[in-house]
Order: sequence, then C-alpha cells, then structure tokens
Amino acid sequence: MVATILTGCALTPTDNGFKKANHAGDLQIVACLDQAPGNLTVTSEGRIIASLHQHFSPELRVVEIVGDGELKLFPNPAWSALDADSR
Amino acid sequence: MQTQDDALLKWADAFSFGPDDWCYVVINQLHLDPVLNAGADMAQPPFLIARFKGCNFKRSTLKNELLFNLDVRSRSGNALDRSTHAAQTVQNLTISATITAHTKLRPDLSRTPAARSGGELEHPRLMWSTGALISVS
Repeated sequence: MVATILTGCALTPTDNGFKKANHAGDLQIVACLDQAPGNLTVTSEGRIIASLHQHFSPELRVVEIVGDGELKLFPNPAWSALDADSR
Repeated sequence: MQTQDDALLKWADAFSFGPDDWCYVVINQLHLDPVLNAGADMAQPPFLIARFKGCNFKRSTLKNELLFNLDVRSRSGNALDRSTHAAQTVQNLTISATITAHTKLRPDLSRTPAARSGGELEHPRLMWSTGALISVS
C-alpha cells in the first residue's frame, strides 16, 4: 500500500484540488480537521457529512466538511449547535 | 497490506462509500481521547478524512462495518437529494452511531439527554465502527 504521508498536513494540490490516488491501495487525504470527526457519510455528489466525536466534547454535532477541512454547520446552525439542555 | 501506524493511520474509525468507488475513512485518534486514555486528551490535530480504492470487500474483516456504511449512504445519500426530511435521516444515523458507542463507555459523560438517561437507541445495531484495520488488496 502506498500512503500519502503528511508533513504538517500539507495537501498536494492538483487540478482537482487533491493529489490523485486512483490506484488500488493508494490512500488519499481528503481533508484535515481541527476537531475529531466521529462517523461520516458521503453523498452521491461527494458531499461529506460527519458527526464530531462526542469523546472530545465538541460544541457542534453534525457538520459538512467543505474544501480541505472547513467545517460547515449541517444542515443549519440551529440543528447542529448544541443547545443548553444538551450540554 | 497496511493496517495502522502512529503517523497517518491513527485510529481509522468510520467508513463510507462515496462516488466513483471511493471508500472514505475517518482517522480521529480515538485511542488518545480522554475517555479512552485515562482522562488525558493527548490527541492532536489534524484529524483526517481520507479515501482509497481497491478494497476487497468480500475478504475484508471489516465487512460488516463497510456494508453498514454502504447501507447508510444508499439510504441517506439518496434521501438527501430529495428533501429536508431525508437530511434529518442522515443526522439521525450518524448521531445514533456515536451515541451508541458513547453510551457503552461512559453514559454519565454523554452530552445528549437520551444517552445520559440510558434511553432506547434508535439504531441499536449501529455499533462503533472500530476500524483499526484498513484492508486494501
């Protein structure tokens, strides 16, 4: 297996934004996050939706990962942000 | 065959299929979080989302987890395209999986009322996908 080892989480940009890894066994880094994700699902359009792992006591619950690691509240701030009762 | 290491594959924890036969994986250093590391948070960003191709699903020891994620994607992914209600399904599935794992470990620390009270989980079969192995042929 050929892994793309990161140095300081530097992505290798190409025309499509990331280093290509089209061969079996290549591991491609899609995004680098400041907070620990929990579970994820990827839509048929390639949108990445993830929970933030509860072990790290995140302030957000579900996010969409945009670009190389930006966290966008999903589906909206009211739903994704923990309210006072759930803290 | 690469499985786990301290440089890149620091606890591969969850999987999902995406378009074009990509299999996405979360790498979240879960073994270094306070709950699993004697209270000390030793995890350090960046946490990663990675993807790969060429997984031999039939032979994989992670067959159940991979199939599970496929099921989530096929249901929630399609639904997401159709309506807001379906988007809620996506959230419920992902959140339920996290709640399940957390409840089994430290329900008193849970940040959700349902898990704190030991309430019924919507998807009790959604166990933590502790994928320390990435099986790539």
